[in-house]
Amino acid sequence: MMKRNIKYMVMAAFAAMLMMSAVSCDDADELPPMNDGYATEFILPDPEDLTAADREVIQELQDEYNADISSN
Amino acid sequence: MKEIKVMKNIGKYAVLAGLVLAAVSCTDYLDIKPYGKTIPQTPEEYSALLQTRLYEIEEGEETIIGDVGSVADLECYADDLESKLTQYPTGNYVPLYVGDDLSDKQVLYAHLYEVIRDCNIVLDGLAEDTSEEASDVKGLAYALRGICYYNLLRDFCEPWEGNASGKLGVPLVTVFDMEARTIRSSFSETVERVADDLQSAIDCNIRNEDYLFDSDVMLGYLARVHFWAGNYSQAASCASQVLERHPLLGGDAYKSMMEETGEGTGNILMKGGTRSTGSGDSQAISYLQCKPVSKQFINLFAEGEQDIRYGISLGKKRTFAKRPMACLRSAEMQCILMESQYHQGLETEALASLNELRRHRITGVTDYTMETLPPVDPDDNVKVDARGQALTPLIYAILCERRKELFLEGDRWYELKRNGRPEMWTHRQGRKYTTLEFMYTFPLPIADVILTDGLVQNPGYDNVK
Repeated sequence: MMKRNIKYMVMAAFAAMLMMSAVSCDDADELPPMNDGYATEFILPDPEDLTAADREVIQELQDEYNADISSN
Repeated sequence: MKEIKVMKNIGKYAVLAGLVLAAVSCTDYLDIKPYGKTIPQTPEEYSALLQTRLYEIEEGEETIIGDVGSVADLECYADDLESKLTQYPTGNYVPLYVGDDLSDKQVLYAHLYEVIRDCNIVLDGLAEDTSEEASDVKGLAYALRGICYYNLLRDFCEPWEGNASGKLGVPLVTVFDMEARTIRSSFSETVERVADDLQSAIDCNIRNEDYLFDSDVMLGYLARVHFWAGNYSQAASCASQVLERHPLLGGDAYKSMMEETGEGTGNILMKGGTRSTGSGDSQAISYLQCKPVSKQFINLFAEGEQDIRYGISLGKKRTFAKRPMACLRSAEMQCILMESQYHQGLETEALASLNELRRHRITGVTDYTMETLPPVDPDDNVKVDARGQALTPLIYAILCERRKELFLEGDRWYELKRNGRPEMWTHRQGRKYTTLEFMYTFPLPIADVILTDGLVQNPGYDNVK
């Protein structure tokens, strides 16, 4: 009886060790990156809607570009 | 007897379990400061810390010298390419304007300090070693540290603009200490740190050609930092010394130097990504072509194809022909020289230096005189010079010549920053995105500012998420 108990205890201990080794610290996060938990992005001023004058500027540039690429 | 047998079995199991544990357990558990285990001892071992950096420079990296990709990004922030005409869908793969990349600059900051950390380890470890080999390795460490602090100064500090007083520099770390929490130095102290490191590199007189950073390269960087900081007398002196040893090239020699895609030839003193495999570079270049060359830039070539740079720089249909590159070469020294002369009040000498550069580039060119200098273009984004003064025809001609010469070399963004930080806008999906003055100075990492008492963030970066 005593012998059987010891045998079970040893087998249980061995199984526990195997499990522990299987899940042990392969990728231990003992020193997390310094920025963990902090914000990482800056909020910049929101873009505005293009005005009619802005669209005119863009159109002029586009027309000039179209003329350039059709001429060379 | 049976008890003894059982005990023996327990022993066997225990040994077996121990072996299994030893085989799979973590080998680098808390291995942060492996004192007495992997700390280098000899100059060769210390040099290994820096050899990786040299390898990266040759393969192409975005931290120390730069490469095609990092230059392409800088050109997307600037105005030689017309951001308002960005073509899609390719335009989705490049930054529309600098605002797209500002948060990512925290990584650049961290990478620069990683190189500085390695340099500090080397300089600490070899402090007492007076051998020739140790001198070379120390010279390399000083060179890399000086260049990293120069990059930090340009990217993460406000520009000089005629007065360094009250302007912040970056935290100066010169010894290896993981626990250090250093606050920012002044602008002038950072400039002094860069100049000291570069001078120390020169004094070490690096003999090993594999270390890339010889005295001429360091002199070129000294010229750059003094120029950036408004120390025009020193900038002109350093630039002149480089030019004496590496005179300007013209004609076919210049063309072949500029069109060489591998090693730096001619008077290219330093070039990043010389051993780049090419596929990443080709992709970056093809993406960049989604932004046509700006008409205003093209119009700078008043002499057309008589200017050798016209054919080298520009392709058909408003594309660019020049390959973007990160390098240090003699023509930049000539640009530094002529502008430094101008800011010292030596206008005759500045004009002569400008004409000298133009004679090397433009066939049959007639020298400018003070009377024949072209007028300042009121539509140019640059409205003031580096001292905040209104542009004169001479300084404007100098800036334009530099713009043509250093096209697609990542220079224009820093020229805009150095000369007034003008606001510019572009658009995407009906919305207008503006490069505001504060965006020319990149933000320090959020975590650093929180963790370090007294570390001051740059203006404009108070809102985070």
